[in-house]
Amino acid sequence: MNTSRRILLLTLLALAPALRANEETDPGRAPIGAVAVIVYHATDGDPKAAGARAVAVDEATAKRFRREKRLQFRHYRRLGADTQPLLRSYESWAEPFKPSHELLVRFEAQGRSTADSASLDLELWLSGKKTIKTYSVIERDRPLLVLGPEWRGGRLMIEVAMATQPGKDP
Amino acid sequence: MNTTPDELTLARWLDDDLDGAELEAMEAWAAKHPEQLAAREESRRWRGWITTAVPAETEPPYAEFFNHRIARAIRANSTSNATPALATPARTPWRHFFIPLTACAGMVIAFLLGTRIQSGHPEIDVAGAPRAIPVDLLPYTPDLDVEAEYFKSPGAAAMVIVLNGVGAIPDSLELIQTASVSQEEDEERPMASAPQNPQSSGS
Repeated sequence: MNTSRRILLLTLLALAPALRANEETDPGRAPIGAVAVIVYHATDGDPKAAGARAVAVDEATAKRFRREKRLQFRHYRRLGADTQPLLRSYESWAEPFKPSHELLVRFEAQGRSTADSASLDLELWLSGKKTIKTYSVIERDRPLLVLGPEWRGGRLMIEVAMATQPGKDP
Repeated sequence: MNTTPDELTLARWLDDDLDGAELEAMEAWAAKHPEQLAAREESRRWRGWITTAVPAETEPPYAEFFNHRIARAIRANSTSNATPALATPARTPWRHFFIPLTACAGMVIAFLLGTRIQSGHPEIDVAGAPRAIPVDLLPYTPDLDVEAEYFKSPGAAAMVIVLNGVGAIPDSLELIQTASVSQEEDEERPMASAPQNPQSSGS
């Protein structure tokens, strides 16, 4: 290793902590909330088609869904969920089927969030393709429900809701 | 020799407006053209008929009387509108001070009014304006075959988007294999412990 390469390596090593500190102190990476993405399998057929590990939703959630005519199904099974922080100036990706990328939700803050609402730039990606892009203001007691693609005799239903903190469902 | 008259001469001959050598030349030419003689007779007959049908121009009665009245009215109007003699302005000394003083006072008042308008309250009071303008959600679907129907559902206490035309996920795809992995199991798996976003997290 010649002298110039040594100097370059030493310089990078010396700057590494500063770069890391800069990344940590970047105010744009500060979380200003959290968003949960939950995927359900809604079907009028056999709920076991979703698999043995799918979890039936509680009765209150099922009743809430059934109060909307377009979302009325006999069975609702929870397939997956992911909660990601809502960053001040960076986008976040929720992967409810992690590590699969079959269904992804990208979201980004579009305004100052409060404890009860968040303005989001939202994208739903299915099978590697952007399916929806929208602007949405979700509230703590009013999430966004997307009745999505068909799967195994039913349809996937994606709920985007405010969460208390990353890793915890609303 | 060409003896055919031009149109203007022919028209004047038809109106009996020629005399002298021109008239003689035209008469000699017309003697060989009986149709032109007939046309002149017709023209004469029409003129005679018009003379008998249309009354002759008559002078208005008492014309001199009316003209005299009009002339007198014009004279009287000119006398009343005559510019009066300009009065010589009184050269009072206070006017020399009063006019500039009034001008200065006007400028001061205009300046004060201008400063008051600038430092006043704005015309639009935004103190009571809402912090955010509610905007309806407008889903955009890049795929032309996909339609997104948006509505607010009071029953479900949610905003709802119904996707129509989106391709079905193959039934053979096992979404559930990884979806229902609990948080504890997820942490135990080295592959899934780190975020694996397909796209860059910075935007």
